[in-house]
Amino acid sequence: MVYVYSIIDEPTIPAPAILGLDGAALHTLEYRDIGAVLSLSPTSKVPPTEANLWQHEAVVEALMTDHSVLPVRFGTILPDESVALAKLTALYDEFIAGLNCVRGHVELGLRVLWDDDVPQTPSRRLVPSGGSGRDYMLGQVEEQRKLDKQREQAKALAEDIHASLARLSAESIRRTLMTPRLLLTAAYLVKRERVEAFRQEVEMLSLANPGVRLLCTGPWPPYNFVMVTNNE
Amino acid sequence: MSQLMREKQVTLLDLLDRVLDKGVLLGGDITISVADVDLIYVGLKVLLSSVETVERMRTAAQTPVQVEER
Repeated sequence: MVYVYSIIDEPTIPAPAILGLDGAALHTLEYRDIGAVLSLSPTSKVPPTEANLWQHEAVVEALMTDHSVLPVRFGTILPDESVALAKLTALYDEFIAGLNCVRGHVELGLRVLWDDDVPQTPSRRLVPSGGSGRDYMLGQVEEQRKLDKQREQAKALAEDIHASLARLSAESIRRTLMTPRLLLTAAYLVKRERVEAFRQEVEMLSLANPGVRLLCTGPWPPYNFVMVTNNE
Repeated sequence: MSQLMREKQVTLLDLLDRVLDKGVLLGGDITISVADVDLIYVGLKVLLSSVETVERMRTAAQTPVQVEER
């Protein structure tokens, strides 16, 4: 069986210094002008431990320093190289399009959270005992209205932050308010030479928005921008 | 929670969201069980309540084509 790490924009590369999962040596399977980076796998199951996930990531990151890469989903194990070659053949056009799209770019991640130290929501006001049912209902309505308003403001803030960063990126994806604490989860495809400018913009946005924390991660391989996502 | 700790946690969460949920799908068996997914996310769920990915992974884990149920 073979474990697949990444599609790369060259058919063969010198054996990378880094080792794959379980210390297995890496090699390249070539097809025309692209390649798949693999290692032999004694098992069809790789547990997603933190160490294994980081090892998969480390391999792709090592490849990324000299190549355009399309990272493969963790845990992808094929029966043998001929199956892998058939995949390269069948998906060649999509891989070429994907590689062209990410060439010279890296992915940066961003999460925007409410700052812990700043109260997020007004404490739920308790209705004074003895208040009428009507007072209680009005209180509830008022409370809901306040929450809705906060939600709208949070969403607008997330969209503003996202727009500023999307301007520095070739492509981006975002989700707002996945949870009340998490205003924004986003990924940006950024030219390598613009990564610094991107980080500086994140700094600026942090200073401009003291109520929230902006957490920028990466550079990552372009997991969110591989294009080829459905092959079932 | 310290800023450094938070950053470490967010980096791990970002890694999980990528390697487990994104990237090229080549078919074949991606053998990740629901139990495995829960295990790796358990500490982080509390931090960021980023339950959405977990739910999506669980759903994926129940689809026999992609993932083996344990």
